[in-house]
Amino acid sequence: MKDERNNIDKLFSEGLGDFSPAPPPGMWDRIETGMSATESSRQTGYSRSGKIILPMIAVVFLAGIALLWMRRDGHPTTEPTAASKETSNYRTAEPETNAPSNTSTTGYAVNQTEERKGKTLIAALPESEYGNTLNNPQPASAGEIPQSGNIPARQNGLDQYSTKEVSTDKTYPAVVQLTALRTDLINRLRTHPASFTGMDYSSAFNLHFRDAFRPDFKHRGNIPLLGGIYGTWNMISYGNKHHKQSRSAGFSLSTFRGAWLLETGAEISLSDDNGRYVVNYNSYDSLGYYNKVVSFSPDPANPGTVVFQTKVEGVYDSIGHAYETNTKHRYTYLQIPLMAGYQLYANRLFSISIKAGPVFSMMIGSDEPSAQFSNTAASLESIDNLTPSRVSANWQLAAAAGFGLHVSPRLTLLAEPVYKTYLRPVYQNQRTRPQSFGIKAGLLYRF
Amino acid sequence: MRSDDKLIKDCLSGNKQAQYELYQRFSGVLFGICLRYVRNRAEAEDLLQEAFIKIFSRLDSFGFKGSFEGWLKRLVVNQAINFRRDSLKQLFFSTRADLPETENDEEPDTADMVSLPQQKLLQMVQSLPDGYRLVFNLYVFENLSHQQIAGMLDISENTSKTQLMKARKKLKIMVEAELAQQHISVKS
Repeated sequence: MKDERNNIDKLFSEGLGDFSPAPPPGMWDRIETGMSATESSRQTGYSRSGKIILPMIAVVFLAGIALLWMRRDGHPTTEPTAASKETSNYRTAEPETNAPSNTSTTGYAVNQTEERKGKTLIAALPESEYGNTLNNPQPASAGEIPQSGNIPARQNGLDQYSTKEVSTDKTYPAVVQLTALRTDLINRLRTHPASFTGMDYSSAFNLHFRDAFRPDFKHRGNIPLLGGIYGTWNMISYGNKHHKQSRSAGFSLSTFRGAWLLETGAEISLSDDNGRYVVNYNSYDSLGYYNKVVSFSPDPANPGTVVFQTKVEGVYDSIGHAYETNTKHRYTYLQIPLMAGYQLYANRLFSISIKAGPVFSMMIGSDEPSAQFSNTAASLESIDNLTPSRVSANWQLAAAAGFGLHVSPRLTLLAEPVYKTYLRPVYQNQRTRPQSFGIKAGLLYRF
Repeated sequence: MRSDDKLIKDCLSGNKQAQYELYQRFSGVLFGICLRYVRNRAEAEDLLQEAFIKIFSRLDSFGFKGSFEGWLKRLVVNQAINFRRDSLKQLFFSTRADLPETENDEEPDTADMVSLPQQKLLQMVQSLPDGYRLVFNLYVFENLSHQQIAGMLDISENTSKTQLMKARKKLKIMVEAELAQQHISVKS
């Protein structure tokens, strides 16, 4: 194929080479508008990201409140009937201890307010059942439970009612106690996260603590909280066989209800990519040579002829060159996940769970070194950056399978394969949406 | 009238008047380049706008070495390539496997050059398929070799040669048709 310039090339290069039409009249205004928009987008980048982060924080906050409400509201339904009975007995004992002279007509030193509380708690019971235990404590033996009018007010002291509590337990038929115990255990196994069964196992059968969901952590609040630190390695596929790695580290906060899990947190991710540059330079190159005439003289041997003395001279000129080169760019992202999960299986040592949810990703830093040119025999014309610009914020959808190894009641080692798909392209003006696959490893701590 | 260097320094200091002067000085020639690389005037205006925004944002990378006009032109050409970068693979996909064909216009260039109005020539270039137009522009106007074009567009040298050859053929047909109307013939 002929590679030289031909007539068509000349026709167009000469015809359009100096083509310099006037741009439309409003072009400068458009450029100014575009420039101010670019500057304002740089300045307001974080505030715009904030508009996305704030709703996310609000969602996490609301989810926490909802979980707390569900926990408080749902707690009594998981407790067995016998636990309510016990609670009622404790409540009736307290006011008599504090005010022993406040004697009721039935002989019990029951404060009216506390009595209402006790009835409210017992309201879930069948009428006959709680009638037997409080209003009509006949099943108890006469020697242990005083009859109405037989006890002087001064006898209603702490010691006496301590005795009464114990004796009240004795009023349950043995079969009711066993049924209650079994219901308690079944409820616990059904609703309590299996990964922590081992932790509370010893106290699960303790009747005195049946109404406390987690006896060991009774006074730590109602929301179970897990904190974690982790590191992640990811392989990101940008399409067209372009793969790059990213590494991240972060912390997580999660809570659960039953086998359901809600997790959020934050992580810093370092992502590598190629910078693409074209280096334009001029070098003084040889174009060829010519014979330079040094001197000439008539040839004595051949009259009428001239003899030329020449020497070869090289011809050099400044020639433009261009080559493409890559540099290593590094980008730093802040990522905030909001994952919902479900625990598939757990025993005392091991648990398996799955999680999925959105991840908000925001670029917080970039290091884009330009190409270097160090040829002393050439002069650099320019270095053109062909690296496509990255978008500053993105959303991802993540799905993970978590494998936990419980090394102690509070500590769990975590290994989690994670798959992510980006909801928007990473590069501006491109359509390909990357995907990533990674491994997350870390440590969970139960507060 | 400020020198180029003074104008650049004033632009870098945020002087709006200097920026406008730079625009006035170079917008014509850069708009001409934009028109050659795209399909129509509207696209050229968009490209020129993007190019000037990039010029002002990257003016600090100029370095005051070499010709400023050359730097501007290269930046516009790169911007034009990026303008089509999304579809670059598709542009050349159909001819990726093509082998360079032998041109049948081996006759010596003895014909006198004819001249056509600039607007006609521009219309012909703009009517070329995107891939043909891109390679033709880079080869004819930017004087790049096929190796450089291949590297720049991430295509093979053969693809670049084929695209150029097809562009020439199409342009030749259009030129001949135009000249036929004027009862002039041309060899190429």
